Amino acid sequence: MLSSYLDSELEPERSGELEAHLIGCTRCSTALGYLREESQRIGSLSRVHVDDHAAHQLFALVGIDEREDEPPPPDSWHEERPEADDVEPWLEPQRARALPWQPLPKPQPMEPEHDMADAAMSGEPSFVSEQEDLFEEPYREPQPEAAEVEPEPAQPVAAEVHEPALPEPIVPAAASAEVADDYPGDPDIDATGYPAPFAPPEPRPVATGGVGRFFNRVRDSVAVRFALMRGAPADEDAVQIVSGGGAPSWEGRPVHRGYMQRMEQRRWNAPSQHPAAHVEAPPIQPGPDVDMEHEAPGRAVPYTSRSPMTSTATALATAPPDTHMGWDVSQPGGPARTAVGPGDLPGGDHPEAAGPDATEVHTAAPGRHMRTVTRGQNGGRFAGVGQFTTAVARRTGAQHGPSVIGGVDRRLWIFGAAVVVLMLIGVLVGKASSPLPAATVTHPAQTPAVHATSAPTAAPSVAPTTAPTSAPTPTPVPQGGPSALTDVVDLGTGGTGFDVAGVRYGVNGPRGYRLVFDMNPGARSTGAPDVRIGFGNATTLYIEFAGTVAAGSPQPAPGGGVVTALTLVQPSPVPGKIVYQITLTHNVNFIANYLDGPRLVIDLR
Amino acid sequence: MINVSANVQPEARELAGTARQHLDALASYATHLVYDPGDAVDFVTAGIYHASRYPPARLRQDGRAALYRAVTRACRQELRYPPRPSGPKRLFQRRSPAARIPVDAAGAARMNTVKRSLAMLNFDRRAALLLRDLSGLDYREISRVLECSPDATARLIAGARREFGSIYREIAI
Repeated sequence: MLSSYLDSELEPERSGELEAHLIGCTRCSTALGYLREESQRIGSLSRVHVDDHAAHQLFALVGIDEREDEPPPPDSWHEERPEADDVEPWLEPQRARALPWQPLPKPQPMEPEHDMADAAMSGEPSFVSEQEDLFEEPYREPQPEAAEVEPEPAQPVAAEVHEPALPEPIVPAAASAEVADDYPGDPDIDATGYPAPFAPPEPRPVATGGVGRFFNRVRDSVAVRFALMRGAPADEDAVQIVSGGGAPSWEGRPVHRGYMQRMEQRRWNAPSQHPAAHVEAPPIQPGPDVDMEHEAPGRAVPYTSRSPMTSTATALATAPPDTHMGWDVSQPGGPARTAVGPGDLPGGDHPEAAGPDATEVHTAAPGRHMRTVTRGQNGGRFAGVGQFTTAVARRTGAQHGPSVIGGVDRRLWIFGAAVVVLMLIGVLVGKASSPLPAATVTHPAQTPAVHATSAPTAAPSVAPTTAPTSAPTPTPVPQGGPSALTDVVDLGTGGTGFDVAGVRYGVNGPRGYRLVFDMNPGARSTGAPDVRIGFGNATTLYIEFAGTVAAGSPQPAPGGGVVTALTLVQPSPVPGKIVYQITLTHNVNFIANYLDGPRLVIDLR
Repeated sequence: MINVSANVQPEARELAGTARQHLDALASYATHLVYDPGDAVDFVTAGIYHASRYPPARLRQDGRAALYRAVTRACRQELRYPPRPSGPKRLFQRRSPAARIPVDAAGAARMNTVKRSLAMLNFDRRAALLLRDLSGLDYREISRVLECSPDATARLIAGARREFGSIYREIAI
């Protein structure tokens, strides 16, 4: 209490009581003195001074500005308004960002003789002043005089309040010049003084480029398709996708079979919202205007509806042409049936009304393409590749239609036939064609020397394979033999009386093969016998000895070498000579020499 | 939609004017409350920044009490502006040079018996004494600053004075 008394926070009554007590109580007076000293000690603490520069720096750091002498930026849209304390911001004469229309100009100060009636008579808008009064005074008596007075359209006096700085009003061409002079201000406010209806701002310009427009269209299309696919199966009968994704294809096959089936099933099972669908009408007796025999039995469409609702439309068959359906059903090629609700039936929806011979008319199937296919309404006309065939109709569930080819898709037949014809043509042309030209044979004869390395390449492997072809006129193969050798090498000194004692041959080295002919000279033999070595063909080497007698057939050649066979040709094709034929696996080069003995050595490489 | 920024800007100027008017007292109060002039300036800056987020109506109603409340809150919670990095990552960050606002606090930084006695009080009692005897706020304003009732403020100040007196007398002797 003493502390509060010291701080003058006590109530006057309590303060008076305490002062009375302090007069007679030294203890409380002493305590009050201590408290006063302590308060003075704390109050005597040194102060901190912040100069202006530091204060500006602090405020700039915080983000507030205390400098009122500096004007705000000229383009600042939130510049301070002098009348901010008096008028609400949305009633300011200047346009605000949040207001789509420009508010009315601030009214002139109310003259003493000015009243609402005069304001209404002069056409001066009083919206602002009324609003301000409403804010100041919650309840206000109505002023029937001002409300009943209708503002007159034109007053010459009003032209005096015209402010030249304001833009010219937008007045329709039909409006008179008086109205334009009467109301000076805002183009958004018409001559009656009320703000014009809010016009939404112009939409943002969409990218008109090719790529941007394409993407926009694709995006919108996808969004619409998804929205329709989501919403249509649920509760919307009127929404049908007739093209694009989710719609039945052009040939009638639904792209989304589940969706189509759901639509059909729901349509069949859903109760009709038409009250006539639930009311059992009495049997209809055919009247004079209903011809039960109009629909010929031959025109009965064998389509069987899957819904009991469709039976309610059977009375359509009893209706004469051009009565309720809108077209003549007897017209050839015309529509055989139409989608008519039960409420459109002339005689009710009782299934027995149509009689036994009446054909059932099904209601609208989802998708006009589907309906076209199932009904055969194109009359056999060609309306596109694969649009309407029996196979398509059968695949899609249609029970009727022009039977062009029964049971099989015509396009499949055409495709198969084309494939077969192409195969036959290929076989025939292949048989009659000439064989492929033989590869160029590099005959060993073209090589001038025995040691040529390029002469005996690839020829031996090609020549034999080209012979057995089925060509009627096979290409001639060079006929080689002992009488026509190529790459001939002649050795010897013309000695006679020799005989071949033996022939040895085998692999000699990593890449070599050696043949050795041992000669036995006779009693009068001198020198070495003449020998001719040459190729009969690419893989046949002939060795012809003159003045020599063969001792016998040589042994079979061992495997693994270039020589596959070594035989003594008997009888000798060359008179006066013995001929050895060496069969090679491939074309090789050879080097022949006579050694002492004499001994003929042939190295094949 | 009403343009709110159009009305905030004058309020910011009003706040700046009020803060400039009481800036010396705020700095003195914060300096004797936390004993360090540098920290006190940071806390005052943080308090003014926090007060700039107050609704304009509260600023108009509370006046300087709103500023003292924001500064007291900043001193109690050691809120600085600009905020200092916290957490282990501050050990790996290069500290940007802080913009020190120069203040004349040579006398306030000097320690004496009164400040030692004040240092022995808890924060609320110290703040209450400083608010009342140094800044001259009445009980209603102090109650708004300390977020308590005026009666609690009176009891708090009375207890703080008793404690401060006893401590001071012990230290002074």
